[in-house]
Amino acid sequence: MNLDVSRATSIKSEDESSRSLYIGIAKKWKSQSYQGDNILNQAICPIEGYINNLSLDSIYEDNQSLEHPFECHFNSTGCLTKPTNINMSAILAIGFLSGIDRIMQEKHRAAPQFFGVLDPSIYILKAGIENAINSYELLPVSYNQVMIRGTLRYCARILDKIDDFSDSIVDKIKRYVFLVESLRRQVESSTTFAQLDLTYIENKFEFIEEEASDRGYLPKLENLTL
Amino acid sequence: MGIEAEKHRKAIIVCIFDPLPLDKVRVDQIRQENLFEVVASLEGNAIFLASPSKNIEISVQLTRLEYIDANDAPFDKRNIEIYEKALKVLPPLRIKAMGVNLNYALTLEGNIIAAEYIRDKFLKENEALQDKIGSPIIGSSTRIFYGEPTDHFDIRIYPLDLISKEIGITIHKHKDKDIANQDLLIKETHETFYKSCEEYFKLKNKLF
Repeated sequence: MNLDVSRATSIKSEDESSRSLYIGIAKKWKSQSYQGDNILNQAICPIEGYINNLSLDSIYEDNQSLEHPFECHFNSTGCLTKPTNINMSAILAIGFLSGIDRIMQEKHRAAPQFFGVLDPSIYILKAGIENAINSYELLPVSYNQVMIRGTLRYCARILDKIDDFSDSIVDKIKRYVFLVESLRRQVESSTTFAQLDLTYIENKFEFIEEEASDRGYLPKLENLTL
Repeated sequence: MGIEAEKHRKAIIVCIFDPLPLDKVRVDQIRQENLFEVVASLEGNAIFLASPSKNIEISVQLTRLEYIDANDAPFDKRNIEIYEKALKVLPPLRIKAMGVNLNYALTLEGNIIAAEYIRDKFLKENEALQDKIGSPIIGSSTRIFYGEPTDHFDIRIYPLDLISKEIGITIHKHKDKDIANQDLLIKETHETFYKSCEEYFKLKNKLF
């Protein structure tokens, strides 16, 4: 599928957050193949006239972001629930786009709110978790290796349960995933990794576990089958 | 054949330790010691110390400390006093492994292309391999491990360029070691560093 990104140049955005969202979606779809581009291109039409001109530069920020769809090079942290300047038609169109995205990927997700699933950084975070799990699976089995894989799978399960991706637990998960990815890079030797005392990492995970359990997303890890 | 020229490059010491929250590192105290011209904390993810005048850098992450000496003096003449002083201003580390990397390059007498030399010296049955590949092999590099998985040498020999005469060599010594005492850490570091230097001399004389 070739999403007609050039059309984005004529699309107007009255709200910086929705503008950056659209840039993100355009980039993601530009670099991946989807079927049903007619449907998607038709879905873009209602947005025209409601979103300010986007410069082509802002869409093609750099080649790297197009070649690496899971690396986020734009700011998508605008408030997703404050579309005060966006016409209702555009709101419906954005919701429709998110629905199409869900169908195309044929992945099970909890029913998202209108704007929740539009945060592409969640896809990036999920991909990051998957990559981290794969990276740790290359290490020989040890308590540390099993522990970290388990915590990462738990985090992935939470993301599947969350409706609102501006939830504070998402930020905690992002930080935890970053910590764990960085740990993997720092400790190259598998024999050394097994010997580390990772109580600090476990404690960081417990904050996520407590919040997930208190808020009813998931029971604690020890009570869960992954 | 002998060695025509040699360049000593970076000497690196690495420590791996139990996670150290970097907010426990007293960056202000390190600044006061005036050991480094640059002292930077990178958003709680890393601390970077550098002395450009001495060609020394240290980075401290959650579980890893790297000391890089980018001078060109012979390895056995390198002074790791700054490393020792830096350790003393850091919170106590529970070391689980340490490593030393010595990087150097040499050129052999006789106008020899490095890639071809390594191919001929280290690649076994290269003619049979060429037949299978269907093309001449124009160069090779090699990596050799010896010792035990928890205490070993890892030697890499590679051409710096496909048409260059310079052979790059990295000697890496890895040692899993549980150390909680700073004085013992410094003593072990000295021993490991100088064992690596001895290995460098041995390999240089016996392999080339």
